[in-house]
Amino acid sequence: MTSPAATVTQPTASKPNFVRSLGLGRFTLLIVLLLIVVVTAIGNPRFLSINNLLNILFQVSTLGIVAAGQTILLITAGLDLSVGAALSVAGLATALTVMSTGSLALGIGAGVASGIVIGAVNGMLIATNRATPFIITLGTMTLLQGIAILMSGGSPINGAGALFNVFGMGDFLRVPWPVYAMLLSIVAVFLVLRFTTLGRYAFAIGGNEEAARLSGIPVRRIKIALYALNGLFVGIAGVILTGILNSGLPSMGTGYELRAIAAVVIGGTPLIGGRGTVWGTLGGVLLLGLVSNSMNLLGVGANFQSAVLGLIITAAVLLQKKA
Amino acid sequence: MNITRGALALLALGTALVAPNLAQAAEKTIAFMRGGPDPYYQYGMNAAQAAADKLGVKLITYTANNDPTQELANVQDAITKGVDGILIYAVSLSSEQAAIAQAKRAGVPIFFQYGYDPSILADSAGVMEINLYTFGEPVGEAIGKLVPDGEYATITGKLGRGDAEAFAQSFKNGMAKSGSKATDVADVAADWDRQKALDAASQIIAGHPDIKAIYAANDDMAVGVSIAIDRAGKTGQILLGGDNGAPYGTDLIAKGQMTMTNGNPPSIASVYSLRLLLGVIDGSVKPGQFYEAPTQLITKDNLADAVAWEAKPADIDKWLSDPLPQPGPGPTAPAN
Amino acid sequence: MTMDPAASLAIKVQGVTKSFLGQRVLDDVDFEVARGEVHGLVGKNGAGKSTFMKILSGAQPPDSGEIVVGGKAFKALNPIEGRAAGIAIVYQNPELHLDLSVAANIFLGAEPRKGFGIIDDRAMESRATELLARLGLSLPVRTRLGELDIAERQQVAIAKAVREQAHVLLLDEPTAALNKAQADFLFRLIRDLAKQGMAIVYVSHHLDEVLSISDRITILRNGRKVAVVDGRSSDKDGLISMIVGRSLDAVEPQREARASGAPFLNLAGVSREGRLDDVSLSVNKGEIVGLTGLVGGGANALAAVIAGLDHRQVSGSMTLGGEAYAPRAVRESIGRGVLFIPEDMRGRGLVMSLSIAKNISLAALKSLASMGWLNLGKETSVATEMAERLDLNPRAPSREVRFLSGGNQRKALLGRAIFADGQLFVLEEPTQGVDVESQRQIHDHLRLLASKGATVIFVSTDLEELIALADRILVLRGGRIEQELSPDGLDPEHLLAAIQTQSTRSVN
Repeated sequence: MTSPAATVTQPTASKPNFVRSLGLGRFTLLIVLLLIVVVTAIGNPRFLSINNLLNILFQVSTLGIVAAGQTILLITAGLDLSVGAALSVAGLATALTVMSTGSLALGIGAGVASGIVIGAVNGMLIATNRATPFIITLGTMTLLQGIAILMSGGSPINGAGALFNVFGMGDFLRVPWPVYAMLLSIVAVFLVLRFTTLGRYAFAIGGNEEAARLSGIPVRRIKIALYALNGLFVGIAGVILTGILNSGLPSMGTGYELRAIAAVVIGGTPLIGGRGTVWGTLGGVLLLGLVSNSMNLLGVGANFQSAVLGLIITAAVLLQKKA
Repeated sequence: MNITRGALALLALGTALVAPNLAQAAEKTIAFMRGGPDPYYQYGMNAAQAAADKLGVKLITYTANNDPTQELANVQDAITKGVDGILIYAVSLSSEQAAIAQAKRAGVPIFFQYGYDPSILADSAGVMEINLYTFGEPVGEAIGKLVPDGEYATITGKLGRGDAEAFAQSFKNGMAKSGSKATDVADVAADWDRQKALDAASQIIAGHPDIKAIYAANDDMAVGVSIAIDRAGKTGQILLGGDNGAPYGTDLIAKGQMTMTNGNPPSIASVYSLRLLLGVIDGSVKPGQFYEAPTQLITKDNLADAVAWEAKPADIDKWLSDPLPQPGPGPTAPAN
Repeated sequence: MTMDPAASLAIKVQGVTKSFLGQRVLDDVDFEVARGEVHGLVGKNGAGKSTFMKILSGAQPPDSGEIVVGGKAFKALNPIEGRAAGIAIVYQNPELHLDLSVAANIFLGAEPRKGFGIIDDRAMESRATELLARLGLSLPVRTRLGELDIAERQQVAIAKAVREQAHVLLLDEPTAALNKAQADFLFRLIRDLAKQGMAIVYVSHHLDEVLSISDRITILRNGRKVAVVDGRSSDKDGLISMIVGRSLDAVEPQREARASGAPFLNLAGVSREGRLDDVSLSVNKGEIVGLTGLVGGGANALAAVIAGLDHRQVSGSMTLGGEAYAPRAVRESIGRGVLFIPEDMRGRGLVMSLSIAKNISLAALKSLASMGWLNLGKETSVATEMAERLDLNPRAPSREVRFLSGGNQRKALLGRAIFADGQLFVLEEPTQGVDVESQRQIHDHLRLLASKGATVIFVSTDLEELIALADRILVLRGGRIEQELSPDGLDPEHLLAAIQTQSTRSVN
């Protein structure tokens, strides 16, 4: 018989040696964030004012809610490109309902329900089709963009009633309500991922779908549930954004999908799934907000801003890349 | 005897078949093309549609979704359909030039709204547009009188097309013209987007807490800016100037959150443009001329007279019976 | 046949050694094939045949040793160098482009061209036809390869090798998917190629075939070259005894008599389209049944049907514990206590990104949760206890499972099945690629489970394992249970002979 195993060779990480030598690992994101804070504070001391910092949190709050949901999807090795368009639809549903019925509760219900329904439909299509989530949600995104335009007749639906007072203008202990909503969403996703069977199944499906199936996990059902859950967050974000803008616009969600995915990836959750953390997503969201804010405060011209943002995102992702 | 009856029957049948087509041939078909989903174009289209219905003209509508290639495809499609004329809000200068080349070859008159360039004037049925280079000036002047010194900022639209830059500059010219010594501390581009304008304004206010006035290059962005001002608790302390006079913009004026806007209602402009295009088609109007689009300064005092973006039938009737706009020289960029 | 002088050797291998994850798979192997020779390579599963073929073709480098081909010595080959040196390998299921035509496949990478680099289809087709004719083949050269059957695809692969001017042809289990007529045709082709000077290495489990076609045969056992014998004068029994050898070490403990309980799993007339034919079987509680046979014989298919993996196109009836058993999804089987442990641990079994604890709990997560909320503390203690019991190394439940060796990964999978309250364990190759220590432990655990009343069914091609572990050994062929053997007094040679008996294939 063959001789017994000698040593078990460990898989080696594939980070660039320079980075490894710095021992940064999972702290790279934090360090990038700190660097930006320092540079901006030097350039414009008002950056560090409570007002500005709260502003930044306020500005990224809806993005944070959407990115929290998207984190779950990326962990399953899936994603949802339609969240931006879905956000517009949810926001419009909210605005239209509030304006026509005068009822805040109905409006919120309409927005959240639209988000969930859209998510569930996406989930069903993805669970029962061989095509990748990328392609499927690309299709639903286009469909939803059209629906948003139809719903709004192309124009903004102005007025969101009390939603504006709460989310647009309201705060508690100086912190605007949308920021609380974002933090709550992040914590909720954290709890789901860490402490629930649903969250555990998400990791299993993303890590090895076949193994998950062979372990008796009802993969199809779980996927639908997860995409619907993501839809819940999108719906909430839609309601809140409608409140902030005091209107529902057919284009209000444009660009959210890419920024949300960017935030999740910057935060360390890989596209191939199986692992991930929503705290990293929070970091990614903050990075995006910080960069944008700091560029404005430092007076970086609008033409440069897109390029700079792209550079920073690329750098953060490269530095984060794990084995 | 039989032959004559047969021949008469055939003639009757033939006429019955052809007559509707002849009648239809008398009805003109116009293609109305808008650049994208922007509500501005929608209002214009709605007014044009209502006017066309009253005139007995058939309107086919297209949208280019902000894509120049799509726009060209739409133009080709319309030409193939055999429309009598094209009324278009173009996406970009290059697509205008391509469109006009196509239309010229097919002999279809094409009228441009908003997108003037000297190179396209001669071959077009006409161009109607506001004067980009002076559009923000009256607003600047009005605000300049109220803000003799201090700080102000401008928030403009998507850079690259030329209009965003021109609007902001015109506002600044107006401020200077009024004799104000106020300084411009920030110029941000917010892509005509309400949310981006909100974020930009928040940052400007945070960075310059003593700022006295902000100019938003369209009223959609002005709404966003007004929210930022409101959140900072500075409504009334920071004056807001807008441009284009959309319904939500006039709302702001009514609520006292915006001082003035320079209205550029797409509704009346589209109706006039339609009439001019029809005039070129039937030969009563000379092609290749520039017309300045009707604009209107709106403040709290004249809100009631603001031209509606959402045209009512009575408005359409009035615009159809107004005297036709007179041609004028195209706007030229000021020497810098 | 006397040893030819070195000059007429097509390929000569010396002292090749290879280890994977600390386990030695090939140990100082020498090998040579002369021009125009058909050289058979035999050995049981795990003997090192496929690894050796991979090294010969350049798909893997050896840890040490030398390959001399085309007059040049290589320490390691890569596939490109291998092809350049004239070595071509044809797999069971040839790796060709199904969407291209036969001619295009044959001339892939070397298409005849017209001016401006445009491919000259006509020249390509006529040359392909010519080449095929020289080999005694007549295939429609314009047909899409995907429309041809496996035998024809193999022929195309061989023709391609000839076009590439290969002078060493490696055939890996070429007849596994062929019927008798097709196999005979292939042998004729091989003999013709050999006559034309091609050196051919023929790897197969079908000893009858190897004997009928080979000039010489090399036997591998446990990674070592045991012997090189003359093909014509050897007999099957002699080969078998060399393949199996005498396993003096790793003697498993005496088989203890285990009380067998009541009948638990019952199959009546179970058929599966194309894979199983009227299988009837009864397994008692506490029994360990081993399924074996040649590849495609039905052992894996039967395990899949029992485990609930395969339910389409299945007819016949099954009962479990007296009640009807017809699972339409794996979770239904798991619900009935049937747990499947696949051979491919990394691909189908473990979630590599998760920890040991999370992998162990995966099939019965609900039992650790109330209303969907997980009790992480309980999970950790369950995993700790299970890791202790199975002697996992490393043991910390929070370690990621990818740091475990093959044997420990297998044990972790077993842990998952045990935690999920398995009543019937269905395993594929339970100790494939596993170190000796873990092998023993896994077998001990399975016996322990059986003695506590669980039922175990396992598929294996490891003769010693079958004899040591199973209470009954079922040999499947052609989708049927052909023989039932008792391990008492059975030695590996006889078992192999039984598996090999009449390597007939369906005349189809």
